[in-house]
Amino acid sequence: MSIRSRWFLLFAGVMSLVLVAAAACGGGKSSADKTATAGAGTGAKTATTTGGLPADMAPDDQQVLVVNDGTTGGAEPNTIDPQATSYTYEVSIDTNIFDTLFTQDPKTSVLVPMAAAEVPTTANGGISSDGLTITIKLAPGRKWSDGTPVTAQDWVYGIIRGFNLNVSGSGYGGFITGIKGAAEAGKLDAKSPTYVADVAAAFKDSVVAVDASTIKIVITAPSASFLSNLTLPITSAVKQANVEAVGADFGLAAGASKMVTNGPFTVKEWVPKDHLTLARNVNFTRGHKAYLKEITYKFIEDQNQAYNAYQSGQLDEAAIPPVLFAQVSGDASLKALLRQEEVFGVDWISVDRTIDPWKNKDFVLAVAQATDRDTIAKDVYFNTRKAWNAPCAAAVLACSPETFKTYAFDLTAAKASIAKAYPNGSIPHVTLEIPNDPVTKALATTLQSQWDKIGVTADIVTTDQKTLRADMKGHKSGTQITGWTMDFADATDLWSIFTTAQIGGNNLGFYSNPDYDKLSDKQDATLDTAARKTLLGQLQTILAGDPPNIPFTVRERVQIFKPYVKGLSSSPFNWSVYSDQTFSEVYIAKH
Amino acid sequence: MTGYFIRRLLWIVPVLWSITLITFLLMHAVKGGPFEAGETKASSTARQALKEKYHLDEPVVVQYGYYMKGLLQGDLGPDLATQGQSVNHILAKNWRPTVTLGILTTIYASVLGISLGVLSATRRNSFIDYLSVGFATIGASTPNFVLGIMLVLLFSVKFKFLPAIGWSEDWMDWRPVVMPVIALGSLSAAFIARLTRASMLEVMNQDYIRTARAKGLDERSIVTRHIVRNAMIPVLTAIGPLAAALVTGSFIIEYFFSIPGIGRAYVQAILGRDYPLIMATTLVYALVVALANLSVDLLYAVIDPRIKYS
Amino acid sequence: MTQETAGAAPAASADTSALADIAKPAVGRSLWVDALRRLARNRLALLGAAIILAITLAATFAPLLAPYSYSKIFSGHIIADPSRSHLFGTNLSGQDTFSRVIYGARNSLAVGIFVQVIILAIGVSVGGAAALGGKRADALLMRLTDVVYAFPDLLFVIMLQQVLSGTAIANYVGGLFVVFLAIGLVGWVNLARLVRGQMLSLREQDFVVAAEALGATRLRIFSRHLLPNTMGPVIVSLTFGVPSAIFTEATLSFIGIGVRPPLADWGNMIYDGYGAVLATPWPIFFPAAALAITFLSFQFLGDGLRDALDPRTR
Repeated sequence: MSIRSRWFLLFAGVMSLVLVAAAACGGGKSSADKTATAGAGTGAKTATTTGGLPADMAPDDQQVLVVNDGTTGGAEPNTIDPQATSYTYEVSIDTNIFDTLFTQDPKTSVLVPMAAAEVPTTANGGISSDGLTITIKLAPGRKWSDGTPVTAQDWVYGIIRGFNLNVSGSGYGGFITGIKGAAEAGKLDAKSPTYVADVAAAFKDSVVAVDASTIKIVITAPSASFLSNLTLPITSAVKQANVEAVGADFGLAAGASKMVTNGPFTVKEWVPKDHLTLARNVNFTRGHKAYLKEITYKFIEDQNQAYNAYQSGQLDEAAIPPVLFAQVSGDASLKALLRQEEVFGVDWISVDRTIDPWKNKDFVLAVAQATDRDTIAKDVYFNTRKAWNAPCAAAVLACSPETFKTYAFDLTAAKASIAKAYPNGSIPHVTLEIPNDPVTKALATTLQSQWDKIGVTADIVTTDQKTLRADMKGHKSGTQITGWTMDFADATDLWSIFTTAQIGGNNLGFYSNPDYDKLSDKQDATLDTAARKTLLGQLQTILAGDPPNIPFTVRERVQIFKPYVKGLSSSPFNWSVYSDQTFSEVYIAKH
Repeated sequence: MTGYFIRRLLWIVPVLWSITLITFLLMHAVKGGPFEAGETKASSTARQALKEKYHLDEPVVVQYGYYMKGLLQGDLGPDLATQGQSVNHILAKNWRPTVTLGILTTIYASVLGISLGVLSATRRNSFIDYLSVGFATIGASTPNFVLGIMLVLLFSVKFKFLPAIGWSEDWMDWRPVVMPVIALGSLSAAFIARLTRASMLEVMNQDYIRTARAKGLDERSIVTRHIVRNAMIPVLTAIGPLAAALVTGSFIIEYFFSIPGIGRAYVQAILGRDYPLIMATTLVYALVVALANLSVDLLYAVIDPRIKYS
Repeated sequence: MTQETAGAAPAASADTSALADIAKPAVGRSLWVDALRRLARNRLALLGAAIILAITLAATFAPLLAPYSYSKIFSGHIIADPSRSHLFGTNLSGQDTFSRVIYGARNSLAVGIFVQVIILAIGVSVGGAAALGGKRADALLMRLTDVVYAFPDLLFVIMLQQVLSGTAIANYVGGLFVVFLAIGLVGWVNLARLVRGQMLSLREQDFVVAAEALGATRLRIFSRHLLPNTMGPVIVSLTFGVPSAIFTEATLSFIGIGVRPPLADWGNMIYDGYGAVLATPWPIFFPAAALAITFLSFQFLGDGLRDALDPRTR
């Protein structure tokens, strides 16, 4: 036998041994899937010991949760500086480390105090009679994670910092423009060396620390939705000394662990592209200290792999890929661990109302009526989404899906509408410009075949995200598959999108209707709920006849947690601003 | 010879410079920028302010000037996706996994490929030959993510022996490394195996081999001293650029196994129009390619004494 | 793309440029005829050629062979298992996989072959010129290949797509042509280096030195001595290049760029099948198997060609 074949046999032998070892050593780790007992996430009260800790809680060193935050696709934050966050996966981490003045009750969506002592109203004097001055008393005894007290000045600093375009440029800055001085601040030159001081000066009378525990905010016009903006992380208090000490890295991976926070957790470490770990805030003062010692967010973008990692024990939570939904919900032990909740928002197809054929409102109506949403929900999304006609989610104040019956699937009505839009046929082609992922492609091919039934030919073009946004902006494509998730429960968050003022911003379809604009402003200024509801009804009637987009589904969040993860709460508004994304009540049970 | 290699090293500078120019122009010629409407809830004023902050509203030539000025001082610029964090910092944190993955995969692909190739050439049309063809088929006929998912389903989900995701730079912690290397390297291993086989067969039929046999040299010396050395030349040509391609072409594997490397960053930067990061990763890649090619040429000279550089 | 001739023709067309060059003198002709004869005796190579021929025929006559249109949606039959009405099952959109594999043969073979033609043409020219053109040409061309190699291909693909979008070319083969150009124009570098390396070492061999001493021109040395002897590794490289180009196309899909739906293409189908792989293996299995079979066939054929062209094979 030659030397070469001897070497090869040795190599083959070693490889076989390795494989045999692999097979033998495999199966050691427990998966715990088959031993599932009661499902997590019912929101039931947990039995506690006399020490206030849950009775079935595992020892402290086991209180480590590893998640992929399946709702947000496992994406890595770009920053967790509360004044700079722009994406849902950033906001969801910030709600665990920074408090806001108010939050929304997870069951009712009503505004409740968080850092504030109570919600200001005209009745308790928190809102002045003209509706323009808001006085907020802070709950006493709150401290930062370094032990120092949180003062009204910290809140003033945080709110004003949200207007610093060098910080908040890509984020929620557009939401707080109702504060007096915002217009002046927006005109300042961000490159000027005195910019920070100039911004502060613009708000010196409108965002004020009256004393160590009282804040005064002056707004430019009475607004029913204004207080809801104070649930956004951009209005979080931050400790000025800390921000200045950490400097440019505040909120970034390099400086995250140095951030002083006031929420149930602080940041332990952030290893870029790998994981971000939060640690229990031992100086937490809003309630009991977090049960969890640590939460690790991994950034696994591939949903198949995230589920594989869950199955192999590397993750305690994963999103269920829609294709697997039937399989998982068919398996009794897995089904018990499933959490399926609607996302507070709607998916729609934005259409460019300034170009043909979308310019014609009957055409848009025709296409909306030709869209078989039930088939889409079943075939494309495997029933992990719900068919939906209206741009508003059901829980938005005065949302009336009835009004949007005009969009409902009805081929006869669709044919009538298209005949009205193009009486002599010759319907122009439309373009569906989409990213190339399998599910969106399935959606596009389904829409293509559905719209074909009324003679509308859709050309599908696949490209990357940036190109398709540029094409939408440049009036080249005419459609974009997108949607809206509510930032807070107030209706203004949604309806303000379709105003002319939002063109170039969130109004992707260039929708412009002066009557609509007037109604939208008026309903926000109307503090009386009954009157507001009437206005919201009128506003929806306009849209029902002149669509800004074609809603098609409401997304559901489908996640699976390991059975030993307890304390998860559920909410009809499962969005990052609500407490079921904060892990302060979650713990690991004995297993 | 040394003169040649010094000249080659010096050539790297103009090559890199022309790459910065071409990449910069190409980046700005492509539709879509780092801050587009509808990605976040930002207003158009806010986005405009961001553009001004990063000089994106100025003419391309001026922007190129800013960039080169920073580059010559060693500053690779601010990362537009993460609020201006320094690109130097990002590269410093994320280069190691990619390079480690690239090196390990190159070793895996070369060793496995060459062994199989040599064996299948010397045992032509035997069982080994067909085995190597079979391996070449499985490794080369499935895209690396397909191989990846098969490996994960077997070794992570079923046997729970290897982790489905993750990476480790610790020498002792070898488990996360296995599947990424196999998934990434099998296509190359198969290619190298076939190339080695083809090249060896070519050499084996040369007259000087027949002469050596006629002289009475044993098969083993013939194989090692003559055949393999001469057959390595085309194989080396393949390994050089392969190594370079693996370093950044590892994007899919890095994405699939959640490896915190710059391969992923490279593609994300292009898709996100993150200009400074695109420039930086392209430059790193170009440098690696140039150095890899240089090493390959150096090895040519070592292996084939007839090749002279001057 | 219709291939009516038997045996080596499909793959031989990939290097027709070389054939044309060499077909002139009487001695050259018999080398290739002799090669064809030897190829015909290699059963494995014939098998490969036959399969390639079959696939090409299937691709050409797809409308006759496929039971359904590649874009017809069977609502309610999403990712269905193989059955009598759907031989290979259905995909995520509800389209028949069997029909799509057949139609996909067209687009995939097109990608594979056209890209290799571009790569062969540019790669052999540049590699050969570098090997024979003297030190300065060599240095310049190799630095040029360094630049092209380091080129961000993805950026180039996106740019090419945008530049050509709206023009007639973009609609050609449903956006695939842009992909051919993009992959081909940046993919020739490896072949160029391979060719250069081979030729550099061959140049020092005695038979070349002898030819030079006899006064042969550089072009003659290139076409009659160097090129045929370089063909071995070049052919291996090309036979790997065909599936590799299809993979690159699948990779581009992963990233978000690809052929326009509802067009079928094996690379794209594999990526789409990956989206459903945890639930069912069929959508990914069939296009992957088709790709594997095609690849093996090109490989056998390539090996056969290499053996047949080697003047010293017994």
